[in-house]
Amino acid sequence: MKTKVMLIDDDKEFLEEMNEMLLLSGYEVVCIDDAKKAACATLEHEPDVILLDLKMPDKSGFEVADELRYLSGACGAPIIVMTAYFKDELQPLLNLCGVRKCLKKPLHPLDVISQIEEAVAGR
Amino acid sequence: MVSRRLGLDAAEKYIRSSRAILNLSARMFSRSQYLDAAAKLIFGFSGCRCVGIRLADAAGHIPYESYQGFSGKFLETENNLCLGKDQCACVRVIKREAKPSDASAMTPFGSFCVNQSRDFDKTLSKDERCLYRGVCIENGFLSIAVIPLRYRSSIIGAIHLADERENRIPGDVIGLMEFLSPVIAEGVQKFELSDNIRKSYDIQRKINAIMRLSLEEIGLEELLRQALETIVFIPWMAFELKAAIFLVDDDDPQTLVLRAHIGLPKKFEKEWARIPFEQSLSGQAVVNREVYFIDYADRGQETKYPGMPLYGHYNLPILFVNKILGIIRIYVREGYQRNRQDEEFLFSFAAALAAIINRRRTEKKLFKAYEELIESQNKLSGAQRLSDIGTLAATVAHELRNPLGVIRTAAYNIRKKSKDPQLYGHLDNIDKKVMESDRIISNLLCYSRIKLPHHEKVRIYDILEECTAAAKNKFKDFKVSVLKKYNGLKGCVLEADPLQIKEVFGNILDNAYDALAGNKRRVIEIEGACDQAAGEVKISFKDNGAGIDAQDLKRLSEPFFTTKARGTGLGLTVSFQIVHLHGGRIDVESRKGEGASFSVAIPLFKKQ
Repeated sequence: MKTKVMLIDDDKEFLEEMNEMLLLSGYEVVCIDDAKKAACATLEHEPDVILLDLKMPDKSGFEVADELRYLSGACGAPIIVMTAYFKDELQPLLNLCGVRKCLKKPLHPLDVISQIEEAVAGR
Repeated sequence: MVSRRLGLDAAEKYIRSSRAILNLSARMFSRSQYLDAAAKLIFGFSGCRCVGIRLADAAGHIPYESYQGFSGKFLETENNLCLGKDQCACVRVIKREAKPSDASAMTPFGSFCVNQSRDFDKTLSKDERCLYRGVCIENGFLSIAVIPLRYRSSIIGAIHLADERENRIPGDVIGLMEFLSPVIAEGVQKFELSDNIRKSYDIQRKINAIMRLSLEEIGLEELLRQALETIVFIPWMAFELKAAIFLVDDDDPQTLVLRAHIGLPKKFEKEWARIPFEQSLSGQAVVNREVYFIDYADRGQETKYPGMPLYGHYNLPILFVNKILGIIRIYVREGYQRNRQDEEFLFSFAAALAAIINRRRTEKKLFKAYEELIESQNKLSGAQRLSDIGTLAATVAHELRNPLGVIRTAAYNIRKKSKDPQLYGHLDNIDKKVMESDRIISNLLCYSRIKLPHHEKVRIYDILEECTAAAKNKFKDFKVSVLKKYNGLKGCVLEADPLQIKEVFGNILDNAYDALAGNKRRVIEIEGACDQAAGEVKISFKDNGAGIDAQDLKRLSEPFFTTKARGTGLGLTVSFQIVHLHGGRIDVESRKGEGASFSVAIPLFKKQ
């Protein structure tokens, strides 16, 4: 069975390219372009791994991550966050929200794949 | 009125005589010139062989200010006569205190006059004789007269007439003298007043000159020296051309420091450079806040030394609102008599200096405070700029890295989908440029986020190894021979922020690699040594690249200064900043075309 990856980001072009890239790499992909829909979508699709942007309008990645953590049954998929501007101060907050990995933008596709593989393997 | 009492001849004589005296007061230039001429006139009018004009001075003596005919010996004994202490007819005339024994010789005007002194002497009892010094009789004067010099309601001195012959001073001569007395006194007073006015004017001018000096932009010491020069050159003051100013030491308030002098021999300059209070009379002036006048004559034998000049000196405290700032020492000529007028002048001089010194010091403090203010303002605006850059950098990072990510992924997808190898070169270029852009953003972020170093124990050798390896990897398409000469750093541990130090070495190495791009032979030489004596580690990075222009050399640490087509101009700024925060320094040596050498010195231990 294919690994199901859920992408949450407000940038549509980003989602499009990532979607293409992950499909090419043999993953099943669900794209969510609205942070508010993240919780429902997770319950619906039960992804194996979630790629989550930290900076989004309406709802930040931290909030989404925190929410997902408490939707038990929501599969407990590992969350990998993506951010353009990483500060050391953010690390404790990420730990608190149960985030395991952090990818720094601009993402390199090969990095993304290896991180996904690592996360799924360690699940 | 005169004519009715005296007859016309006498009246004419009176008028002519008084006009002659008045003429003198108009024609003469000084008091002494006037008195000399007046004595000569009186000599002629009276027909007596000896004539003198005595004037009371501030000390209560009544010296002969001018005279005709008296012998030197006579004057010597008489000049010391003191109104307060001595008894004689002349003293009593001036003090208006005639005794009953004088009565027979007194005129209604208050003059004392005898025309046969021996006969007068015989009429005196033994006790009464004590009231007379008898100097005139001893000198053989038979005719003696003392006529008070009246100025308004006071008596300022006397005219003394004397002659060895008897009956030389008849009533009309006494009458004439009494008539002339107020005229002469008026003249004396006129000269005295004009002298005083001139002196006050001089003093005012000198004080003004000193005040004007204080406005000039000269150092305090030069100002003090010029102020001393101004006052010792006052002609009517009996000052030597020698003076000094000592100020209380800022660091040691128990010591006086010689700050300015004129006319002191070199020897004293050294000996008096610093004087503790208790060791000198100058010091005593400071401690007691009083004027000290030391007369040569008053010195004990033991404090005199051969070749010591015969003059005394004033020590004046410089007081500002009861705070002692120092002292002025002024030397006076031999035979100088301490007097109130001079002291008052010196006091105002000291007060003026005190005000100037105090103002200078306050100005200095103000100036320093102002500089500090400007400096902290600069720092603040610098900090403001940094935080602006920080905000900007964060925004740029967000807004640019997202699209960069999309571009990168898109390029990846194209490569995957397209079977056309001709596209690969272009896709590689896209990848390369995305990486470069990301590096610029990183630099910008790094610059705005320089924090105080987080010190920990760092193995500097390992860090250098790591950085050279990283640089080599980054520029792997580039053949550069890296000469490592830093084995001496093995085992060397220093207190520093490892991340920041890596940043510094990384930036310098990046630059070195970039500088070598145009070279065929590319060498980077890294030397390192631990200088325990200086307490620092020194590492130099030398390349044989393009070198740096002299004018650019100065601007290396300036933010946003760059000569590269694609650079933020922040790499070295960050490096200088970091090393500075570590208490170290970066020295750069370079010439255009001859490579560059960056020497980094970092202290072994964190500075407290």
